[in-house]
Amino acid sequence: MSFQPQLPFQEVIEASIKDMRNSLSQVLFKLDSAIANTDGVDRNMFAEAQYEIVRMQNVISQMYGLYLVNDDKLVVSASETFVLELVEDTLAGLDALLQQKGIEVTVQGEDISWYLDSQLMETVLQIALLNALRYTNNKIDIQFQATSDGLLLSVIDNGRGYPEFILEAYDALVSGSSVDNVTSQNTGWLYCDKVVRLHTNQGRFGRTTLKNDDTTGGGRIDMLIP
Amino acid sequence: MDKSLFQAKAAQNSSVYAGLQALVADEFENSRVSIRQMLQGLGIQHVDQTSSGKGVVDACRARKYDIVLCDFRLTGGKNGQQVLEELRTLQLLKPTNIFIIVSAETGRDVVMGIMESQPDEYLSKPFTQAVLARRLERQFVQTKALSTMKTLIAKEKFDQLIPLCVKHIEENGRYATWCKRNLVDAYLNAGASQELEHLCKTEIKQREVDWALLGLARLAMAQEQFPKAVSVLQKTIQQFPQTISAYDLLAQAYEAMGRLEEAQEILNDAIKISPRIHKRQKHMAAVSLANGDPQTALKASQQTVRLGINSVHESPDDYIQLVDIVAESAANVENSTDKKRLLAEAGQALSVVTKRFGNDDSVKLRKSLAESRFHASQGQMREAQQSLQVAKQIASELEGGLPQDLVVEYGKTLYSAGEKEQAETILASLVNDQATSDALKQQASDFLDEPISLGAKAQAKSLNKQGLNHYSNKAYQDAIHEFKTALELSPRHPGLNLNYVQTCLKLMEAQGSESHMVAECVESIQRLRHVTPAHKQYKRLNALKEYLVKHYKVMF
Repeated sequence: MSFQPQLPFQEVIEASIKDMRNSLSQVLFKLDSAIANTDGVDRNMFAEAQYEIVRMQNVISQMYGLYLVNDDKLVVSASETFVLELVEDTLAGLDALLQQKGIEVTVQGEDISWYLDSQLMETVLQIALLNALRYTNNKIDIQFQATSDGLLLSVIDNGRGYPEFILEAYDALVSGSSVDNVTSQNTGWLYCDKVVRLHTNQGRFGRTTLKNDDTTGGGRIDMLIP
Repeated sequence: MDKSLFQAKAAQNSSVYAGLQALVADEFENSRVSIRQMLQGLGIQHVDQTSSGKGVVDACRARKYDIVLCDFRLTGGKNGQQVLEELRTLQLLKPTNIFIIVSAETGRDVVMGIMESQPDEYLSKPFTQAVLARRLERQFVQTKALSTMKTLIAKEKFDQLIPLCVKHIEENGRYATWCKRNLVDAYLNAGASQELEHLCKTEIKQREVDWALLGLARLAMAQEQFPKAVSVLQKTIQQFPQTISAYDLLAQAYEAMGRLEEAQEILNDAIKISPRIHKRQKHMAAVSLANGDPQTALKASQQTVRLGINSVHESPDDYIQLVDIVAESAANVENSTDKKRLLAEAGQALSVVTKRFGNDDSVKLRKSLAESRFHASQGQMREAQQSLQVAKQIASELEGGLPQDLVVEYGKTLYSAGEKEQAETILASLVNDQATSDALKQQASDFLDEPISLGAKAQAKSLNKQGLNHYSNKAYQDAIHEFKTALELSPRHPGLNLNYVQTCLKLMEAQGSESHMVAECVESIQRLRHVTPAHKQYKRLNALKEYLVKHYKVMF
């Protein structure tokens, strides 16, 4: 028996996401206050829980974004954004975790502004940072600078670096081959690349590259926004 | 700059926060409590909270808050966006106050609507205290740097604002883009066209940005260079499809050029992106109505009424527009249940007008007029007369008599209630009055040209179009047939009558004079007695009239 869809699915997703975000908001707050008010308990555990919440929040944004991308409905709404503020905002969300894990984050860049969609780019940066967090030894470096091709934003860790087959898979992913093996890692990267690519200026498109850093030997993602 | 530095900066500010007053609004208590605690954790001692939009407005009336953190969802009907718009209209926010909309929304239409109301900051849930601290600090730094300029904008002192903005830009200040955007408004207000053009073009040379393109378009609109505005706006939309104000402006430009169908198309695009804007839906209702598209007009008018509820934008116009549109479109509704519901909606709108705006005599008058037109459209002529008599009574008691801007509405009502001659007299005198505004003259003359239902208008329009096609293919007989059918629907339309006459003349030129055709041409010309020298078809009417007199020996 065939049946008419009873609900507009996009709105179902949107309503559900609203609920999830409200709930996460509460969980995040309760954790925040628990960390602040509790002495002598396993703070590591709280930080881990907070990390999971940030991850979930990130995955929700990603899922909705990719849903829109698939329907060709994701639109970049660029406005002038101070890059340092964007970076600091993203880091602020991961604050407790970074402290807890003892990961040193350095930010290198001038106080420049750029035309970009700050909401979408915050999710992108978050994905890049969450990845770096997973693989880093103890340092993450965020660099940005204005180049003649656009704003170059890089997230570099000092872990062991990506194996060749992952780098190849990334290149295949961004060159548009269909994704057979859907994992949270490649959907995250796909999201980053799509969002960056949707940023355009005078006929030029944004692009991303994943490689291993010459200096640290760890993973490095470059995002170029025209 | 490393991370520990910005944390230290946030901590330094706790002393600054201590003396501030904040208000938190959210429909859920646990959410209010958590945001309140976050603020207190930052050192803000005075934090009030409320759950409803009315609560925010009342609180802001009683106390000046430095920070308002308002969720989009509130209890009691008003949402955060409507609250912000109301606070601005009532001037309850100082330019240096910070209004942040908080929301867990994802839906593009909601988020776009929020952005259009331009809060100082938009904070998407969930967020940590650290994120809130960052955003607040940023707002304070910005407000501190721009407070003089923001105050000048609020006081509309553009002549003093302009040199300050220019100086900040020349010094490569951090808020140079903010200054440039505000300079566009300032230059427009000050009529400084050259400076505005220079500002925008210099920027566009470096990078095409939405505000600079919009600035050029707004300048073209102000100078009534509509084709230029259209081309700039089309480019803006192509490059920046999210720049919603470009759509609204483009629709206005098309409207000014009489290209109503394109205006409707572009409004349709705008509504797809951001439907929850009162003025946009209202504009759509008016444009689609003028296009003879009652279905679209009805939908847009219903949305207008819905969005107006609990908002500062609500006006009696919204309800009266809805009643008129229902009157027009109810005839096309076949299903009797739907029709009943629609008619009930119009009745409801009329009673809301009385309830909400009943103290205003001119609104009372308009309500009775609308009621009369509504009854007439449903064939209830006795009721139509009754409402008209009530309206006449109110009008006679109005101080200064019937306001000029209501004359057209009054004339239309007289006409629909059967008092046609009186309607024509009153509308004709409006058209001939030097003191009448062009827009009102146009409205009155449009009605005199075609005092028929929307459906009939649309039908006549399409028949006329087909007739013109035949005419350009020299198929004069076929053209005459289409024009004649159209004239049965819309007998007073000047363009249509003159098309008919001109085609008859063409045919007779080729095939020789025919007395019945000459007679019909004379009848057509005589139907156009309402066309005055100010009418755009007047010249053409006279030319054809003279031609008939000269070549066919007729008298007028």
